[in-house]
Amino acid sequence: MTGFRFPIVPEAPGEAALRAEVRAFLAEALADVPAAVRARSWNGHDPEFSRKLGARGWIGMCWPRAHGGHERSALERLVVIEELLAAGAPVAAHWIADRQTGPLLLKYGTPAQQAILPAIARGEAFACIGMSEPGAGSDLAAVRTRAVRTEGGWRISGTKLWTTYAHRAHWMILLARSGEGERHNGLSQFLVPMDTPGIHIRPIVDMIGDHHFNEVHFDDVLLPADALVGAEGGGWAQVMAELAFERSGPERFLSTMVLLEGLVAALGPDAPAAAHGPIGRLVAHLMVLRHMARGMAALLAEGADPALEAAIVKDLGATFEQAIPDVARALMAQAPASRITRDFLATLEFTIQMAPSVSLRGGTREILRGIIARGLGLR
Amino acid sequence: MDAAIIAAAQRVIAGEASEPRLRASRAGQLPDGWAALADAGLPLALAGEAAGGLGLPAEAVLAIGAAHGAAGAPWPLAESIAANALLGLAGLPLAEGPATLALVDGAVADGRLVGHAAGAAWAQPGVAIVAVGAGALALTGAGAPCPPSLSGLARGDLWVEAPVAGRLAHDPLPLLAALRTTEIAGALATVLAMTVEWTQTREQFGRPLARNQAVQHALAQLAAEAAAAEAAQGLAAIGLEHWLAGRATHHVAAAKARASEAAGVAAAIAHQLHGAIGFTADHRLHLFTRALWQWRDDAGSEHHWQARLGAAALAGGVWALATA
Repeated sequence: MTGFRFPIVPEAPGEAALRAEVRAFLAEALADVPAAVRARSWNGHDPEFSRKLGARGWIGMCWPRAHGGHERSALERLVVIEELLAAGAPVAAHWIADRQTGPLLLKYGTPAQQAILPAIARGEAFACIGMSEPGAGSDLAAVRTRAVRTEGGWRISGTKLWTTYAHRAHWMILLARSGEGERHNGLSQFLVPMDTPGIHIRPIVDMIGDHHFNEVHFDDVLLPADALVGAEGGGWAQVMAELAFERSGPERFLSTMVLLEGLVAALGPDAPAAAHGPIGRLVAHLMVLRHMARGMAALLAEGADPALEAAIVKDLGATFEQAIPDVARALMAQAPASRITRDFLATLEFTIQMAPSVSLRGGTREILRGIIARGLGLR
Repeated sequence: MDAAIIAAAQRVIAGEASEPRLRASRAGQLPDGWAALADAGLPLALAGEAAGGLGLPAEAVLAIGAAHGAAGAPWPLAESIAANALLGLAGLPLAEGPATLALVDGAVADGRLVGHAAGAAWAQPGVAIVAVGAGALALTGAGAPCPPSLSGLARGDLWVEAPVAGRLAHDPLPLLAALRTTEIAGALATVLAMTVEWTQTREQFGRPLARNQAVQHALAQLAAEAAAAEAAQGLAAIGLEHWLAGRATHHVAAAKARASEAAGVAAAIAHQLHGAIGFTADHRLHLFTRALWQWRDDAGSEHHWQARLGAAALAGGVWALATA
């Protein structure tokens, strides 16, 4: 009725079996991992784990076999990634390459660029996103990193910021200013090997003490001509298409699930009735968010561009994720003291500190609400 | 085919739901126009084909409910759809005219369904009451005039004492909850459209309200709640299919809980952005917001369904429940 599109996607044959297969794999793979570690969710970086997923065929699931993919449906991929996220599996190593670098190269990449896809699908090649800069955070069109044409290639100079796991990535998709024009014009994307001379990576430790952010400095880095991804000057449109993938997935509402499951386990089936409502409220929100994400996966698979709906999912999802630590604080006193373990408390403490980031990364709440307002015709 | 039926239903409802009729419903009356809905077969949407209904899929039935909600729901359409579905399931003839359900808190004794039914929607003259409770179904004839309710729509508190006409294996509450979810979703779509239009038209400080970023962000929140209610409608459709198949469903519980919560949040934002004019009897906003405040409590409020979902999650885990 609103004109928003959240199609109903019925349960597919084999979906339950695939879900059970992923759960069985995770039960074994994560058996000894404490909740406080799993709470890092898609910020947890474990190349060994990524390789195991690759061996299972759970990376690059929807890509053509010719590129190392597995030609599974978007729904099957959704089942796998939501199970990984809900369990708090350490998926950061391959996450960005699987979610957006791969699809970008499939759509715009040259055959040479697409040659890295099989290694991504095996869980052996990792990527990072070179978008934000010191002067270009929410205002991405303020990007200043330059790509200047040289004889036979490009010379890159500038600084990227908040580059998640740049220090452990093999590749970067770099957004740089390659031509004349301002703001959204003259931007291009490049596929950059992270071991290229002239790239300097400086770690930025977050307030919890974890290192995932980096500052990446390009000091006259020379790239070959065929590093350009897609059309020269077409970077903005390509980045916006990437963001629909980045914003609509289940990672936008599942990143504090480990705490919620820990809370429910601590409260147990005999929890006082006063605990039922607050837990049930979160369940209702989660089920509606899952329904939305399922519909979005179907739309994206059809080639639609549901940017407005993606912004809504991310905004509602972040609010849901951020509500969970406070529900945990409110209800934990109703759990038997013996079930409030050191691991549970560490999970809570981590999640409280991590929570501010979920309405910042991938588009701040304010940016998302601006996108929604534009979708309503207000801008 | 379903798309054509839904489009036809939307046309009939939008064509008949004039503002005078909407206002008459809020004065506790049964407005004219029902005949057009009946001619289109809308009250028979969910009842099975063998019982003389249309037997439409749940998704189409709920889309009709949403169209009715978007128009302010001036007739007992959701109630009639539900009543006819239950009559059909019980093997009884479908209702001739508008009908409603009275959910009886009581028991069957000596072949009679006996008990109290609180806040039965549209339980007024001209509307046949189908009383349901204790696994039994009874016909009590039409209702009596009702005192004013929160929305102005007729609501009756009934004492039921009537011969059992049929048995019912289905719990009627999820059916009503699914239909209310769609009315909320439809009404929120209209409230969103009204609020967007108002803030683009009304000028203060020399420019439209909608030029202010604070207003834009409030509208974005309103839109997100409307979108959540619309997604809840889809979840309710999945749940309603389970319900029809006689399976337990927590999808409807989640849908109604989320839509009821959205109703309260969105109505508050809509009133804030409409300012004083939206608080007047003359303005149309209250034709929707007062109904939203009533519908969020109908067929189980968000608190009712949250408590049920919470108990289930505490027994078996959140993710297991959400993916069941």
